[in-house]
Amino acid sequence: MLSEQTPKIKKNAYGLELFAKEKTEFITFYEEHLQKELELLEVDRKKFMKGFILRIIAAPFLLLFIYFVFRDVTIFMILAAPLAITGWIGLYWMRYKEKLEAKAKKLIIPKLVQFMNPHFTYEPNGSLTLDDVNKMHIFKQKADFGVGDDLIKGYVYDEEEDAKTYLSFSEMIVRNDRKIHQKGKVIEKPLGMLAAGLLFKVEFNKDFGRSFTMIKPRWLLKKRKYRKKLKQFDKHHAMQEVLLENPEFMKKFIVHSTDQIEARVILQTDTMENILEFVNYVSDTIEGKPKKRKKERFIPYFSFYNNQVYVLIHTRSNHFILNIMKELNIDTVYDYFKDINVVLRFIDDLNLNLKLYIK
Amino acid sequence: MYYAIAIGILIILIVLYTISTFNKIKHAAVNVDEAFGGIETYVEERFDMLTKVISTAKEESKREMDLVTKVTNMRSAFSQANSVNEKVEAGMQIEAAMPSLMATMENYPDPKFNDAFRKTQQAIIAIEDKLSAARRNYNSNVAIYNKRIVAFPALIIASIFGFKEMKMFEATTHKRKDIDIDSMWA
Repeated sequence: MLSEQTPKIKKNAYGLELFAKEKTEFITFYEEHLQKELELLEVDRKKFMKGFILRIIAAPFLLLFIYFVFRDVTIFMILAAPLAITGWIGLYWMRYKEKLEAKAKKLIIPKLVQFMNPHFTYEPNGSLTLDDVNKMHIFKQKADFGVGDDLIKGYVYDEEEDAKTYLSFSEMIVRNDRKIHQKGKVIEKPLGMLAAGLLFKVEFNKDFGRSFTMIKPRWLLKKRKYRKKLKQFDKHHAMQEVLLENPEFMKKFIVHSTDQIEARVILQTDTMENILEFVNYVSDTIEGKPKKRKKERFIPYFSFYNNQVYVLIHTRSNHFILNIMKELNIDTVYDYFKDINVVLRFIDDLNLNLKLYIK
Repeated sequence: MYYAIAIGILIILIVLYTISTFNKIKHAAVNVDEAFGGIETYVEERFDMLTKVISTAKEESKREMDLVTKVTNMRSAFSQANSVNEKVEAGMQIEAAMPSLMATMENYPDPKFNDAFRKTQQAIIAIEDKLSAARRNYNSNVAIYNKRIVAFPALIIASIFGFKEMKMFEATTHKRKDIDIDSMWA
């Protein structure tokens, strides 16, 4: 059970509750609830690393020993010995790495999720689905292979507004591997990797009817590598480009929608500003050093459909994974924290806890 | 002979350019009309809603009569406007009058009226939101159209065929000043 003390409710300029957590809050939580256990886990990790390094050091001696003892027996040993030793080290690595990773995840994430919001639940093996990605209609072909884990779902509740905003998010890797055949010939090659990163689905605060609106970074269209994977819309398509008033937003994003008016209901002046703020935000390290981010490492796609907003952030990285070579400390947990906080920040930035009108 | 061919080619090019430019401007003008249609729908919807709320008032007091007259006058001014520019002008006057009208309705003494107003307030806000989006859509189309007819040499073709600059919806200072956010969410 986390601290019984009622946390102070933060509010924005409009009096809406802010759900994203500050770094200082995170540090306090870490020191109170995770530090001691993580230090014990670090002892285990060091023990494991020690065993691993010892095996690496022992390997050449073992090899020499085997050659010396069996030099007259068979030539097969020359080939078999290195393989056997590599297997021995590999087996050790795989077995303990998995164990340690599972232990760390079990220790860190459920507590962290509770700290982020008491209404969240965590399913280590659950994920959003391929259907959720395909509903976004971003890619030229549907994703036909997807893996994901670390599903966090629940709601944020603004007591004053009496507004519950449901959300779910998980890590996702989606691919298109199926070739499209026609009369025995391949007419469409598979697109391969479509996205790897975070996918989240949040209730939107306005009713935008049955319209479909999609936002993607404009620079993607200039690069063939990305352009060939994206769905294109000609002038006869129901999805038409929406020209908005914010030049900075228009420079950064391209917006398509089935309804020009509904798209503008969604993308009001402040919403555009808030989306810009959301994508321009770059988190820092725990020491406060600003991090540099390549634009290929943060490609956000937004789709607004059926009163939900789907956000797919292609980061090309595996989130919620433990780097066993690194020391387990506050930085390890801070990376997990940032991945969860990104969704809460999205809710705060877009004021999604303010239900402007009910459907 | 060569001169005749050259002049012939030039004339054909001019004719083709004229047709293409005319079509582009016409297309932009049609888009503006369609966008305006979107505004009209929501303006009508808003009037219907306001009329419905006012009709719930019990007493035929002077205050109520004033409200009815105000809404009816605004509605007839809007529907009697002939050109899009006149309608835009009428629309802007409605926008300027809306905040004070809303304030009057919010402070109306009849409890039955207040109840009806509270119930429809969310729907009115939703319409306001859509109306604002429709206005932005209209302005965006007008901007495209206006850019088409002021660029050279398209402006010659535009003036020959009588295409005129269209008016945009502008946010009134009155509107900015009078909106009371707290009372909107009360």
